[in-house]
Amino acid sequence: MPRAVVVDYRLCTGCRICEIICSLANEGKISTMLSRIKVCSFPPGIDVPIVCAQCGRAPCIEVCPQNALERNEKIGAVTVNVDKCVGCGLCIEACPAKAISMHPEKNVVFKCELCGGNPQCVEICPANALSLVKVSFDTRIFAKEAKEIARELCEAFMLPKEERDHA
Amino acid sequence: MLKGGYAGKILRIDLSNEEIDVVETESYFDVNLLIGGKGLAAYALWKELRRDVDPFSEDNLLVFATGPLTGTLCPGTRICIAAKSPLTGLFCDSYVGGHLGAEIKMAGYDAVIISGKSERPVYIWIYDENVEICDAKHLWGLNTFKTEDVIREEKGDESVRVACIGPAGERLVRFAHVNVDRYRQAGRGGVGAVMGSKNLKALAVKGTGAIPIYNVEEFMEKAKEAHRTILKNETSKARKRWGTARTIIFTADQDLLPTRNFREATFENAENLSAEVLEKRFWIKHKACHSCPINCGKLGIVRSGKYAGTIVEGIEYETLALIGANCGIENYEAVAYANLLCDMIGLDTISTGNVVAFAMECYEKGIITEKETGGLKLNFGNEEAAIKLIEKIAKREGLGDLLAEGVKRASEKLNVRCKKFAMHVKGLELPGYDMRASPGMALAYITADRGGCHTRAWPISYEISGKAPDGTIIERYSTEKRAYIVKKQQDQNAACDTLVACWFLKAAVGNERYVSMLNAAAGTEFTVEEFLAVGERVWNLVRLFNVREGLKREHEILPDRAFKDPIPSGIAKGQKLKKSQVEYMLGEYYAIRGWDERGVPKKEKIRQLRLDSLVSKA
Repeated sequence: MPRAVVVDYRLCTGCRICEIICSLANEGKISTMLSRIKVCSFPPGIDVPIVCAQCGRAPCIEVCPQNALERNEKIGAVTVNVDKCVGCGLCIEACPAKAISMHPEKNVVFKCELCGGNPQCVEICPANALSLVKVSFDTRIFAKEAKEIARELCEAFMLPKEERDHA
Repeated sequence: MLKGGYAGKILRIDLSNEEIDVVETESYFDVNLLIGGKGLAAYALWKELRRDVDPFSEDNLLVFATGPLTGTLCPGTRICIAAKSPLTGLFCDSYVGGHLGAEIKMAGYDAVIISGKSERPVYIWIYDENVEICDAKHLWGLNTFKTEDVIREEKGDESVRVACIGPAGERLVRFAHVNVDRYRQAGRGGVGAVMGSKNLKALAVKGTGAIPIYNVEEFMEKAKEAHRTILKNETSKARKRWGTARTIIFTADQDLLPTRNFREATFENAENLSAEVLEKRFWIKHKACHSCPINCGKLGIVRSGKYAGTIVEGIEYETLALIGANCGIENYEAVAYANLLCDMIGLDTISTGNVVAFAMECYEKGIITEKETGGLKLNFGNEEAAIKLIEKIAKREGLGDLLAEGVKRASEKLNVRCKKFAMHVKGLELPGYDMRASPGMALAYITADRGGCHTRAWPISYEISGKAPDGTIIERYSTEKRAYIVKKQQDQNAACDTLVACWFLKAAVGNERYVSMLNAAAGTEFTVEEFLAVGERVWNLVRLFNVREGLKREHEILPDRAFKDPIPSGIAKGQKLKKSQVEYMLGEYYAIRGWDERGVPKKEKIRQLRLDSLVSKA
């Protein structure tokens, strides 16, 4: 069953601590480009963390000609087999959330693999905006581009408080 | 050899000759003596500026300086923007959060030092090692929000970070700010006007590189511990929920809230500007700067009425105090609109609130009339007139042209009678704390390196609690221990400003953790004592700069109102300061600092702080 980092967008403050800890924990240095989670910001102040939804029927797995992407049943994440990956980038294009990136130094792609089961971003997020959730349906419905999410969020934020709470 | 934390390079841009150069951070300054941030900026200005350069000339320097912890997991780090101030003629370091500092580090630079002056409007585009000076004709005249939007659209990348000025900076309004990430400002001291004088509209940055960390495991452990501690800290929790807005009820209760140009020290309608009201009616979302768990920023929206549709981050305490209470305005919606206006046109809300309040008092006293105001009825509390006046200031139109010079210069030109209530120290307008009921704040104001400022020392909490940091019982309106407290806080804050760590987190994080994060990130071996010594060293370096610029003891004074007009109401009714009291504290402060009676650091002090080699080398 897929497990994924799920975002409560309303709580995200845009601090990007998730990006920092992600690149530190996975790459040993701090860089937005090396982070598996990315916070995209839009006027007038909307913050949208984008992270792999670990889709049930994953387009990245389906499109990969090398079978380099696979589901790790134990963790629940879609993982990259770096020995098989040739860096063709088809998965990057296929991802509906744009949550897969090309590694700037190695010729392979990288993505959120849930830190092997204990995502560092979830642990540290000071706004409690991130949770690791086991989902019984196809998490692909979470996989959307930041701009699209921002548009909907923006509308929701502009609603009066009472309506917003239930929106 | 730098091992981590630092990016390792400093970018130098000379706008006069359009020259771009990259130097090694270590070859530019001694990181072991000055760390970075404020230390780096102070050294740059000391070394590269001649005495007496016009702040608006090509000889002034504009420094964007990060610290070794900027952009890392250290909670809440920022960037220092420094220049010789057009308000004070002294060293000015203004700090801003958002994400600019982190982006500059990831682009590969510890600092960007800008000299010279362009002949045409330009902006600087930094994309890692690719640096360009671009034409900004199409951006000139645009407000700060629009400038950001246009640059991002042109680059086709919404993650580009932009520091820019608004029309006020272009027109050299002396208290113009540098705007970052839409709602964050390096507000004080007119660094935006310096940017405008260089014909520099914006600095746009995209960094795709990485910030190296010397000992990753150790650093992560220390940084995570710091984050956990902050989230458990009661003060941090309050700030997380309420931001800085919560302060207004405290200052109103304690007779510290500047009201109607510092005539009164409490505002009868402070509750209408309180965090409780803002939370209930205005805020929709918390906002944080890079790596900050506190998220003191609040995004708000005005839903109905005259100012409906106003969306702005805030309203910060200083804005509530100076544009609200100090102008007699009780309607938070109007203050929110004025806040947004200042952000967009490029004005510091603290100085702006002072300038408007000053004009209101002049108007009510008949020193200026509707003839000068262009028909504006500038009574305290007239929110519409205040907003129109702010627009005039940014355009330097009519009376706005005079006020754009700041209260010091405006009062000197206007009338001898208004000098008494021109509320500034050394040319910098005062922030949101009345000093008549706080002798410690009085000393903090007159000795702050950039003029009337609350961020170098804030002894108020000790005065209210009645206990100095060393445990001595102190009386609120007395002068005892103030010199000691102010020096201690100034050194502490200067040390944090070299990292560059946010003031709001320093108490919860504590020096031990800052030092252990610094050592783990940079591979250094600082002790807490050495770290604090860096703070004192930097404070003295700035002092030497200011003394070189002609700063004298006679400049370390308060506006006459502090001595002549007792607080008319509230808990501190009748309170005012005596000149002898302030002189006493200042004398004691100089002595504790190791400065002579003129306020000049003594030779022994300079040697003891290892500043002698630094200063002579420069």
